[in-house]
Amino acid sequence: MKKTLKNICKNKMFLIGLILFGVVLLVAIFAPLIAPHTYEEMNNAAKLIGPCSEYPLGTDQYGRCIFSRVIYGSRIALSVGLVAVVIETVIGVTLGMLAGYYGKKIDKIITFVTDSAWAIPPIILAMAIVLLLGSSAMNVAIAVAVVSWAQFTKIVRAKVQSLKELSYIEAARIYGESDFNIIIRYILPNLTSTIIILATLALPTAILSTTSMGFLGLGAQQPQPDWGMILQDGIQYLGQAPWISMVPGLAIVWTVLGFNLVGEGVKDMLDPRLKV
Amino acid sequence: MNGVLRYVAKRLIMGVGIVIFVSVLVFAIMQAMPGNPIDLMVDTRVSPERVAELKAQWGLDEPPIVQYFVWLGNILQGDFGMSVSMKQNVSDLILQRLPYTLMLTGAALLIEYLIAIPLGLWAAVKKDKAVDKSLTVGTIVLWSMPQFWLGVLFMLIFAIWLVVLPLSGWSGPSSLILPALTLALPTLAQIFRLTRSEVLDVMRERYVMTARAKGIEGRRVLIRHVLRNALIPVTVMFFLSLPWLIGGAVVVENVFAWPGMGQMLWRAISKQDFMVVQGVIFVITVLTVICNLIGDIISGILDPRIRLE
Repeated sequence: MKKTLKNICKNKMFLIGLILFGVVLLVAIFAPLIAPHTYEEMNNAAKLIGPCSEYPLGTDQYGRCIFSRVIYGSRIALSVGLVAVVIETVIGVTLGMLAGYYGKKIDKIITFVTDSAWAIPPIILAMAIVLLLGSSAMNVAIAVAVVSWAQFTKIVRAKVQSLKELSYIEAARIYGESDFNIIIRYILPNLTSTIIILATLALPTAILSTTSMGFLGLGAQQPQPDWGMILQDGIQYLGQAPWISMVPGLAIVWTVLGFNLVGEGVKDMLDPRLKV
Repeated sequence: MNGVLRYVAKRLIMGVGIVIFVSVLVFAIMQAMPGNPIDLMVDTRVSPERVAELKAQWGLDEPPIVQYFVWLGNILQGDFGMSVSMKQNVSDLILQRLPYTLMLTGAALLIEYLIAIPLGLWAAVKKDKAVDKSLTVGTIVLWSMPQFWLGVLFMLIFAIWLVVLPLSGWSGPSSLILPALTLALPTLAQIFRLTRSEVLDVMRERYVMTARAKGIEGRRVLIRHVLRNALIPVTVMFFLSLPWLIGGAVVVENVFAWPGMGQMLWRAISKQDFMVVQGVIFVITVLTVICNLIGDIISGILDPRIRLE
């Protein structure tokens, strides 16, 4: 434990990432305490005004407080990103384990589907899926998950293929353990660090994808404060009120950068040789 | 040579399979959409008979499977059908817009590789020094930027404040600068890291030590022996990264109102213009599969071990 702590402190990038991430998490949890206004409160007398004491980061065309909207937006960004990563981890790891463990036909089918999933630009398929399901924050999470599990499958499959050859797994099989038991009790625990690395690195990508969908108007709908949507709304007022677009963008950079640094650190600590 | 041919043939069949699979998938998604383009287009005053007539005219009254095979058969003859919302041949629309998308992605790729490879090499040579560390951090920061924000930032600085570059749309080559940079900068991190790690790997190889021991000058070893071998995976990456780049292009084209396929695709999806969506995704998938194939073939030829898989 002490050694791990020492390692964490030595890894400056990881530490900075952890701080950036911690701030976002606290902001999301305590949003009502931090935000001076609610995210939907409009003020006709204060449209498109610049930063001032009442509105620390200015207002939009309806006189809504940008600072408050971006603060509340962290909840959407984090939860949607997290849900997407959980779903894609489950899909990707399950398929990867099945393909790697059973091999032969199952492996061929799964590999083919995975290769096909690589062949479509993810955001395009995600757009189509959201339109099918309807625009909402959770549907964006599902769509992003459905298009981004392939990375998990490829890496987990390769890992399981080599694990399968280990003698204690061979022994378990001879002993008469069922395939299900072998996968869950002997193979899955060996994949923990790989899955942790992949999932932490997938989160920033998921947040970038989900906010892109918001930017294209597919995410949470008004008056929900989706970061991508606020940014899109601000483009038409870019000349007179640039803060509308800039602030949510900076919030995305902050969050994604924090996660990327944490992910890099986790990878360095758990498995520096893993190629992602 | 026989092995290479067999490998290429196998990959080719796989590629065709992927194109068919993706086309069925997209077709199924479009079919499952609530409503259809005719209902979206006509207003409620139009009589049901007229709507049925219109559907028959566009072939939308046939069962989905028939529609799919008609569509696939037509595509093989170069006919992508008609756009319901734009009343034009989809193949004409694609041909009008494809050059702009290719221009944008091509320029972005060029910028990306011209910046990322020298930086990757530099970082590898100066491993663990300040240069290496700041380049690594710098590319992670770029990698963390959403393209739609970076694009808007560039618009604000260069088109609104400094007024040196066009804001959006296409009005000559100078319009290309901002969208291409927006597309390239966040993604160059990947190529930078790949170049850096491959160069580091190759530098540990025995033949590099031999070359140095023979007294060949340092820079020459770096270019002739190290870079040449390190660039193999980077070349493969060039082809594999294409779908991501095209995906990014959809967003960037929408930021800059760039007259490419991505913008058209986005409009077509929101209007449920089936033919356009299917046509564009088909073209993009074919392009991606071709690029993956080239990447696979190159790596298969350069690295015989891959062929055995």
